[in-house]
Amino acid sequence: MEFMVPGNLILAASIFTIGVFGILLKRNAISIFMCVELMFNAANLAFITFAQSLGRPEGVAVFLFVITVAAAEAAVGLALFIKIFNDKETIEADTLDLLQR
Amino acid sequence: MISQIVYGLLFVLALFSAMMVVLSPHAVYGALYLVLTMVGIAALFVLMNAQLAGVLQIIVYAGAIMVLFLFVIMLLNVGRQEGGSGINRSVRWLGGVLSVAFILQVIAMYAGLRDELAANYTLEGAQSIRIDDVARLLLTDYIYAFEMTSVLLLVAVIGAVVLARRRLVQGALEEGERRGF
Repeated sequence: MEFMVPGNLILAASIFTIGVFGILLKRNAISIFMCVELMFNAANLAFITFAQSLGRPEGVAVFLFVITVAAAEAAVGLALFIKIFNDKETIEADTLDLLQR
Repeated sequence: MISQIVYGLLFVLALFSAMMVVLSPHAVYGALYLVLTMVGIAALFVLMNAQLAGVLQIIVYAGAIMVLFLFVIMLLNVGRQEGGSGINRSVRWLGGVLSVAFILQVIAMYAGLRDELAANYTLEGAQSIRIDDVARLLLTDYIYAFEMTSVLLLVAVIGAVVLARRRLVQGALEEGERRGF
């Protein structure tokens, strides 16, 4: 299983980059949020890989914190989107340019 | 041998479904592919003998958070997105090219570090990390972070309720006035 540590790190980097690219590409705010979740997952994969390979529980603790922050962020963010949708009838990120004017 | 095949399949599954999250035109399909990515990563956790992380990943991520996402997508009915305008589109594809370049750079870096990684970090005979070790760590060294997380969750719950209500309190007040309270 000696290929797993580099493999997991490459997978984590790839998923993280796919998430960054998705944030650039997507216009729907919920899709942008899903790409942020992809980035969280990539970070978790790297944390757990190192925690397992070093045999230390710190990585799992940080994994728990990341999951908690992701849950809090998803709850607040999606509530915000509901609010914005009620006001503007859209959550296309390109049309929400109030702060650019 | 069999574990290599399983690892390769999970690798391809996670990578493919992560790409499909970005490339699928409809947000609901994107969310379902995201669930698939999370399940693939959870399976990788279990393959690394990190059962606690795998189970939490399935329960919290694929279970709770993604249900919230799908619920909001279906509630708002904003699945399909139109194509971007010209300048934005070219800038975005430039981002794609740079992303591929970045991944290739990371792979080249790992290829250079391969011997060092193989020497210092191995999953050979990795023990599963015991849940009581994690709990002891959370309640001793990371106690302040742990408490702050609970405050964060509380704030997030209250914030979500306050943000998502739709003049409910005001409506209830008017309703009460109308009834003569």
